[in-house]
Amino acid sequence: MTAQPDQKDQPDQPEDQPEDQPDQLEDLLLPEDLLLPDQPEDLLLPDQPEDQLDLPDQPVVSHRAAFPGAPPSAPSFEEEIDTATKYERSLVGKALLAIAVCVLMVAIRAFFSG
Amino acid sequence: MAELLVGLDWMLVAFVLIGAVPLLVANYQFTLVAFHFRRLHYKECEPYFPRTAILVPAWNEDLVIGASIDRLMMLEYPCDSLRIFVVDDASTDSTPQVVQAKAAEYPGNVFHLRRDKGGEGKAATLNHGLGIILADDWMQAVLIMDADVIYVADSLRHMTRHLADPRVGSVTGYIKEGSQPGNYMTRFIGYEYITAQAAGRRCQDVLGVIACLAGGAQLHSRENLIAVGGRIDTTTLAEDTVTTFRTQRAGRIVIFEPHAVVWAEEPGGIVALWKQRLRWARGNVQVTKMFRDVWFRPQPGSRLGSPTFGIIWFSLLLLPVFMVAASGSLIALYFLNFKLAFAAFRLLWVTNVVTYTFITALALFIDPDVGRRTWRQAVMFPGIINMLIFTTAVLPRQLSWMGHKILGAAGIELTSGWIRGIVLFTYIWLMGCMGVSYLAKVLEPRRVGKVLCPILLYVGGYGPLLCAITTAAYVQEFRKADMKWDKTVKTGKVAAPV
Repeated sequence: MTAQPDQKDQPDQPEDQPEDQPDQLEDLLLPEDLLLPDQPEDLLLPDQPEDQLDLPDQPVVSHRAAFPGAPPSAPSFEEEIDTATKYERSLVGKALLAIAVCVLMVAIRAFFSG
Repeated sequence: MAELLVGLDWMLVAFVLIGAVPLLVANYQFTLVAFHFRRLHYKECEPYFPRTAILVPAWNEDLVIGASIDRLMMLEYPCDSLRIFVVDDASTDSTPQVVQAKAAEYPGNVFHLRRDKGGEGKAATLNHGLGIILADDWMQAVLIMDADVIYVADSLRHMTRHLADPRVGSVTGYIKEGSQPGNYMTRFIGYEYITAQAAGRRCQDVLGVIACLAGGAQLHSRENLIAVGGRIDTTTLAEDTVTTFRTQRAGRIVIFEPHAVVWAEEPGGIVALWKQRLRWARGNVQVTKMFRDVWFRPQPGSRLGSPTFGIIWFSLLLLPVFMVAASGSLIALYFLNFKLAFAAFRLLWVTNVVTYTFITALALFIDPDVGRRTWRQAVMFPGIINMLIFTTAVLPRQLSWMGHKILGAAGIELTSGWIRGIVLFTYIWLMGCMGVSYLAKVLEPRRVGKVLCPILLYVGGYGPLLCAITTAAYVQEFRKADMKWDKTVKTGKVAAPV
């Protein structure tokens, strides 16, 4: 059996759960500035010099494990999606091949029987 | 009077050509398969592993349930996000003992839910389980499956990745026939599933509307399940289709994931197939009536009412009507206007041959693994007589020459009377093939059935057999016959690569 998930996306809480309870709890436990949204980098890297963060723009190629506990040799999630997409694209060629078979049959009909 | 006859002639020609409508629709559907790559949902996918409750309805499944649970526990899925609920529908065999042993082997993962009163059908069994699962907050998604199906290790996570998109309500997988050893019937079904699922559901995916979630592989988000009432419909024999329709009417997306493969054991004989498909076909008639306010009424947020989907649905549902109308009109025209009848027949059969060739070739290309096992059944799908008619349509002179030679060798001269007789036979055969398939079903339980049935099926055709079953469904529904849940007997002969 595979390992614990990395819990990337937890779905929404059920609607009947009261929404204000967690906030009230955080108000009691955390200083107000930590509750500011959209500042995770500041919280994680408080002493990082700004110039070191100024990285050049380059495409980020992420290769997430397809499932928790996947062996290193297993294809990543992105590779699996890529393989599936390639297969779906190959159906265009297969459809054209099937049409070619039909054309061949019509040609045989025309050649032998006019 | 003459004008009236001419009008009648052309009306009959129109009826013959209406017989080509399902063929044109089938061509359209298969053409859409090539465009599936343009409507893929993968951009919205994430590696997503919701806490999933697997709901397994089971009635006398001791031959298969243990292996099914073992296979589920081998899924590439986080163990603590997986719970298997076997709803034992008052089984009288050792199903309870097998499930309880598995519950002890996999504590916290396998649960045995027992119904004291059984036999009310799959939907009632599922509702028993759903009531318990929904009462607890743990479940974020529910997978409804059959007791005998075998999930390939990556299939569940291939399905759950779509639920990362909150607009998606349900996901279904690709069911493949996996009986080992198979026979002629399982191979026919194996090929049929390429056309109906691998191709048909891809087409529906392109159109943005799915007709039916496979009963053995349907994944729902908790939100969707609640939105459709938290229960499975018990008023029809097509509860899966009703859930599918309700999901889409609620504005949620239904996805077909062709790379989530599930192996299933399907009927190995005509009688068993008849029972299973009669239930499905009758269920479809009931769904058609139940959702009568949906057809051809486009509505925002759902493609169920799109004209294209309506045409596809009714071209399948009314296929026997089209066949009988075309055949009956040809027979009438044969006596009224022989030449016109033959011209209309040729047009119909040219369409038929092109459709058959295109669909067979593409289906075998789509799933070459299954295709290698089932290509003979693919070729023989319409039946040997229909294949002869196809060949005559492609090579009329050569077949005529051969006919003269063969009959000449037997001392029979192929006179115009003979030819007219053969032509009339082909017109009748268009609907007569359904009768031959029905005869195969009637004969199967008898002593001669073992030998005769496969022969009759190959002669009459598997496609016509399905049409005969649909016709029987019309009759049963018209007579308001009792809705019986005839469970398909499973023996545990399904095998799939580990």
